[in-house]
Amino acid sequence: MVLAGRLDATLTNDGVEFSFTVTNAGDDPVLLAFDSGFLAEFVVSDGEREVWRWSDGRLFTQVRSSETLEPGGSLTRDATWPDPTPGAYEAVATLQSATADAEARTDVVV
Amino acid sequence: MTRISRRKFLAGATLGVGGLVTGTGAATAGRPQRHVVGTRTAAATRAAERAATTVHHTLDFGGIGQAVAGVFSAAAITNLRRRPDVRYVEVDAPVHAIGQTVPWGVDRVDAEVAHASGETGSGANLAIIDTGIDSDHPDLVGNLGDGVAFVTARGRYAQPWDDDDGHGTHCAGIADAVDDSNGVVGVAGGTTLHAVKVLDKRGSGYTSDVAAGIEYVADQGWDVGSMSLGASAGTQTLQDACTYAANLGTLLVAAAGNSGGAVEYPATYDTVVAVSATDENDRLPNWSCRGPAVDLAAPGVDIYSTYAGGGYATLSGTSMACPHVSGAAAMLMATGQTASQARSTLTSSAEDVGLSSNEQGAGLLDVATAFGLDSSDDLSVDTTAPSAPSNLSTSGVTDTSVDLAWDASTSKDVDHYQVYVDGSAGPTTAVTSITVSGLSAGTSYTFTVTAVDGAGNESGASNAVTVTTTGTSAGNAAPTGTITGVTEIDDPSPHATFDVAWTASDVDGNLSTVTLTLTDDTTSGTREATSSTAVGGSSASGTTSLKAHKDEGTGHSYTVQLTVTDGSGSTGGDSTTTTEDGQ
Repeated sequence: MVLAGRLDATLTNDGVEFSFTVTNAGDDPVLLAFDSGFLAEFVVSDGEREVWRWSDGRLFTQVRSSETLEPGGSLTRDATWPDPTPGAYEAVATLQSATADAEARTDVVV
Repeated sequence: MTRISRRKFLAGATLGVGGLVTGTGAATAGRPQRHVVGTRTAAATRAAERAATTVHHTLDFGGIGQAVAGVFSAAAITNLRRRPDVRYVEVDAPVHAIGQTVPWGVDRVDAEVAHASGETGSGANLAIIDTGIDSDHPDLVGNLGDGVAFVTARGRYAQPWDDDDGHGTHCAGIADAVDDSNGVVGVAGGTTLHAVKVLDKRGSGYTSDVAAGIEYVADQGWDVGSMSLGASAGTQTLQDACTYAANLGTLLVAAAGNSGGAVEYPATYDTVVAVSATDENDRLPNWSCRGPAVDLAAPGVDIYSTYAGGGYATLSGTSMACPHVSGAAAMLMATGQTASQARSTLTSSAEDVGLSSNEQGAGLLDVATAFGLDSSDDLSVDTTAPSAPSNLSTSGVTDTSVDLAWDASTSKDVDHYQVYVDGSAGPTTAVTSITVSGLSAGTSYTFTVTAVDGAGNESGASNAVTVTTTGTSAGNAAPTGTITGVTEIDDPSPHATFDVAWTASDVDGNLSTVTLTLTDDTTSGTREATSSTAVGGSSASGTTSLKAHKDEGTGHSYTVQLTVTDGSGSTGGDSTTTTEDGQ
């Protein structure tokens, strides 16, 4: 896979802070094009059902953008899951680009 | 973590460097000045950001290093210069655009035509519900009114509603950049802009914050709320806020969305004007949302406008289409129209650019037409010929006229139809039938019809129809005539009298007139007598008396001229000379 995704989760007073980093692990530049200000999605599930989705109740700028990730270059997006209920979860972050796919998972214990 | 600067991230954002000149940047002692601190390390960048009174941008040039642009005290400059990982400190020279650019979108919707008539939206209030507005952008400050932040700008900004993203500043400039000699001009150019910051520096925000912004705009009694934002799902709160604003007389305008699918929220609500995006060729890009909820189309591809940090950028999206309509709505409401009247005016005046109603709604925004002005200087020149009319047929035929009828061209922009008679341009008509008159009897004619649009483009010809008028042809052959004898009559009068015998013929059978003249050659061409005789058919003959007054016994010589004329005006004839016999 050319694009390597990495999802970090940190428990803070504000909740769980996610940091999703997409790195170009290949030898050629990769174009990341986006339709809107919605660049990455973050979803938390408890193994059976979805408990939190970052984009729920959000609106985005309707401007197109793109970036070329050079080999080794990366893009990071952050999200905060506020007021999580204690438990064990799996979090998945997905790049929302029409031109490249990237995804990363991590386990979260609150 | 790799740091991605805003500029780098907005690929396709052409910052406005072309046509800029650098000012001389005269230093003013004592006052904190804008400087740019070039750094080599992340630590130096953070130190510069901390030392700044205000940070305008942090630029990332990759391997070259970073640069922090902002306002720094003299002491901060001195300290930063001492750091080995600071590459340079320089005065941030102001740049000024040479002259004012009219972006293609403003030109395409003919807003500049309305400006020329003094329509600028002055007196109306337009809220940009977005990421904020650059509070000191030189191309916007003249129109800036109030601001409110439901999300506070992150970083050191003069106002909580300052634009920490750039998007809101871009939209504000499209709707209403100041019409002056610099930068760009917006659609309105003179309406009052209010910043309602509801989206964060990453270009997203909660629908509850957007709803609060909408409620605030309505409560202020502001005329228009421009929302270059959306999502594939809405919320009851968002819908209620839009209804509330509509009830209070605020016109809401929103981007249709960039997913290429159905119109997104909040644009899809009935209470909101949904705007799709078009390019310079009036085409809908595949990413523009579409569907029955689209109300209007407006330019949204490669739009040049103001950007955060006092600059300019070129961006694409229905986000860019939306503020074109918002600015136009503010212009109309400045003249006293209500929100619903302005909405109705915008849709009824929109230009049909040939897209489906799902794509263009009522059509492309046309500001000039909305103000009853001539928008014929459209940027895009129509070079497409209409389709040809069809099923040309004849009905009534007389000896001088033919009735023609045909099926209309399927093109919507037909101005008139041109009839061709035997390949030559004949009469024109705005309807699909005509009576061609002034034809000759018994003659075969071939007719075709073309459609001509308002730009003068002409279609190919319809089917050809050949028809022969009734009656007998006038023909083209000239008649002939012959003087068969001239005899002087001996009588007691003092005049010389000649009997002239003649024959006339016309192969077309269309003889009309025989004219005889008697000219006295001895007296240098005195016309002694003229006599005309009506004739008809293909041949005629007769004898006509011509009298030379009081010439009896003079011995003068004379010329007798025979002229035969047919029904179409062609002539033929004969002449001879004779001499008075002296008696």
